[in-house]
Amino acid sequence: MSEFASAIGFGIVTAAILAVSSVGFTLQFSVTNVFNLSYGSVMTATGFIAYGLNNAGLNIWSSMAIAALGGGVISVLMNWLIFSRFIRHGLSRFGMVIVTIATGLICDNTIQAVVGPSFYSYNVPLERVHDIGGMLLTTQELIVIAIAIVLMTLTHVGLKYTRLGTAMRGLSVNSSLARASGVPTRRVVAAAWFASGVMAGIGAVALFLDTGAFGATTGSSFLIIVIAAAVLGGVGSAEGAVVGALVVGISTEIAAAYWNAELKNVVAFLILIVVLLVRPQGIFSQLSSERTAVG
Amino acid sequence: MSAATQLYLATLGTYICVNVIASWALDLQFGVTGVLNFCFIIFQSAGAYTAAVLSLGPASTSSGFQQYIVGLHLPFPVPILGAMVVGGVLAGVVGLISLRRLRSDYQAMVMLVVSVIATTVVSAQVGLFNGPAGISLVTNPMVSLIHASRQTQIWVFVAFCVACMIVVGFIMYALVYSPYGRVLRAVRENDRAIEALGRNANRHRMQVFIIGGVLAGLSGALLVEFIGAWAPNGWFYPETFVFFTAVIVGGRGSLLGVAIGAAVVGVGVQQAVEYLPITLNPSVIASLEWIITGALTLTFLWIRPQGMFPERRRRFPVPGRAAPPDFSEELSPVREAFDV
Amino acid sequence: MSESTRAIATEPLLVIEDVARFFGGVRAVDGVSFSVPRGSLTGLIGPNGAGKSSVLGMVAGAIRPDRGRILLDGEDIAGLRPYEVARRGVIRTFQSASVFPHLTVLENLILGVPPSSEESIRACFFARRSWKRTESEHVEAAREILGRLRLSAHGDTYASDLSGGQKRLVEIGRAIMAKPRLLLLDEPMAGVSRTLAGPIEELIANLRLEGMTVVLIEHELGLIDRLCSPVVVLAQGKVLMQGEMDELRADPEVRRAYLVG
Repeated sequence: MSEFASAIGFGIVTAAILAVSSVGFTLQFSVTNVFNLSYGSVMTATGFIAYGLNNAGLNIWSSMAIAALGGGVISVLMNWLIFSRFIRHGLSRFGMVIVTIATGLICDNTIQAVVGPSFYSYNVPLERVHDIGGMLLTTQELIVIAIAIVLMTLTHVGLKYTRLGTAMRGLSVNSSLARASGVPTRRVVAAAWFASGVMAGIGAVALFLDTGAFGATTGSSFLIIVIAAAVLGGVGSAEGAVVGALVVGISTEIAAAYWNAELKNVVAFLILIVVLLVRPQGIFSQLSSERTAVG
Repeated sequence: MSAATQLYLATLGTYICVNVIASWALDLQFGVTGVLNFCFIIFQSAGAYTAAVLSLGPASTSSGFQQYIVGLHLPFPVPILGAMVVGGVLAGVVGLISLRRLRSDYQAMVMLVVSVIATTVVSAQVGLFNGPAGISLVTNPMVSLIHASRQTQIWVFVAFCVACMIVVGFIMYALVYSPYGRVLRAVRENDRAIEALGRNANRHRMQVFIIGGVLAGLSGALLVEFIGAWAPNGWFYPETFVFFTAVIVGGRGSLLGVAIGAAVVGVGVQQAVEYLPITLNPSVIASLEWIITGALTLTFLWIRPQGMFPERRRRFPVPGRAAPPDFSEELSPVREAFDV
Repeated sequence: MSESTRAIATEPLLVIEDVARFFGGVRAVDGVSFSVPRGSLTGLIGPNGAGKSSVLGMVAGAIRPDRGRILLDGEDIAGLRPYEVARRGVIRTFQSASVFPHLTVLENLILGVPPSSEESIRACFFARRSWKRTESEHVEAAREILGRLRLSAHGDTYASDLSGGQKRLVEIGRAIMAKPRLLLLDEPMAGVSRTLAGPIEELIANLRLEGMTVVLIEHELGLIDRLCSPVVVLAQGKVLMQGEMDELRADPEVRRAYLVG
């Protein structure tokens, strides 16, 4: 029983990390309709920015905050320099997928050229373990969960009640109508990319903290799991991403505990495939199939 | 010519043949028919592993050095034929689950995930294909077939690869420049319209998926029999992208273009980086190759998405007049490439 | 003409029987029945949202009806896939002209010819001379139609380089190459410039003279008036009335539907 409880505990931590990462991914997709397969590279980059700061002496949480801002900037730049130009050039949806893959490859391999194939870890103080109903969680893990909850609440409130949030929702449902109604598309799109980069950063640092040792490929490997959670919940839906994160997070940890730890990611992948085959729009569907990319 | 130079040229020759065959396979699926096969690499790998485990003896004889299934020690050319069959069958299975009425980027996601699942499972299940260490000690078939010097054996194998490439070239030509090929291109251009004209678009996609799988399997078999080894770190999901770059840079839909693209991107980039006048450590070299590949794709998609040698415009001869020249170099606008 | 032949000749080619289709909570089509006489140019009109395109979509196989039958010469084709419907001689056009952009106009037209064994993989290897011969026959037929469309200069032009109206002409020309029993035209005038509207109308009028049965959806009522007989009016997913254009024009219910819908 305690094994189950601790698996759930790990699952909640994973879900927290996933939730933040997936909402970042899905929010950007819902506003721009670009399937951004370089998101993993952004995560890796921000994770390493935090490493640099942390190694220089800054505590991990401040490093996370600064790295997240860096992630926002990187994402906005990627869109401004590359993605939006291709979109305006008239490239189709799957052409854009190839563009994001290419960008991700360049980004990933630049990082790899710099940091090499070794593994790194953050400089964190020894942690206290807390027993919460059978789940054994460290202080850091609790903080990560808290950050996730705060961020998800902020996102929900922001999307619902602020002007920017409403504009984002408008663009996600009907971009031509939103544009015609005077929504400042470019600024809202930039904001979406920025938000997505920030969440990627927070998610990345949380992930790297959780896995202990990380390298240049950690972000890209995690990307598929992020997509699994996002697609399960319904790409484009923030609530969906959270639900998806919980399902994927907990089920992979239970699979790791009771089946095979090495294959725990396969569970996430299989979930993704089943969802794409059975109900591609996910749980909280938001999409039509004929949307064009917004850049 | 020294032995080292000969080996270098033979390696170059084999890699070019293998890359051309594989790029043609992807071109048939993606360039001609518009199927975004983002798990292409697993079909080449399936062929490689199949050829390996069919040509090697039983795993027990290696006294624990490596584990793998099967191990029938079959003679040439059975392992290669087996590889082609497995490539086709695997393509059939993957095609069944992924070639459905999904929007194109979702379909690409499914295939990407299939690719990741494949590497994860093969790495984790060591009993299958020796896990992350991969299978090695695959001997070149010419070694047992031809009793001559090692160099001659290698050159005979290269000649065999060239022969395979030529045969595949004829097959591709027959398929693409025909009424069947025209239907394939129509599926790429507007699948709603082609279905409204009585053709089943998904059946055509499945056909090219399987044919492409067979050819990819062949390319894997030839490659593994030359290098002698195959491991998961050589076929992670980004490897598919190298072939996409070859097709995009060379000219999607154009057989000659894709062949040249395969040589340039598959082999040329790698060779160019190896021979840079600066000494870099090997992992940086590998990263540089990827960066160049990604940059090539972006560059071509930006300035010349139809590739170096674009798909030819089909002109029909007007009766009574001489046939107009078939090849026309069109600077088509960007919009034409990848139009959904 | 014998009794039975005359009977068949006067049987409607297409009978739509109580078809319905719901999208979410919306009843896009709610119990529609009408028939299309053989050899007629039947108009299908109605305000926006009346369900005209949905009905056409159900006949063409693009949409699956939730209930009802669609009888083509007695055979129920409801629920068949689009390519199965097309193989039975029903060809349709789309609201936005559906050409193959990176194929030439001639290639577009040739693809109108119904599928045959010449298109098979087998033919690529074992019937090369045969398909080459048939292809030149198709090209000849296509050039003839190109002449009728007055696009002879554009045989080798990529379809994407044509104007909206020219694309529409190619789309209709391609449909003609198919020699369909039943041709469904979904707002053929959409996106067509004034210069080409005339030739397209002429083309459609001549189709009837060739014995083709045509169903035409159009918003431009003048066109319907000049070409179509009979005309079916749909409103809010139901058949409001059918008959000749002058009767419908005079009917107060029809007029109200157009003002409200």
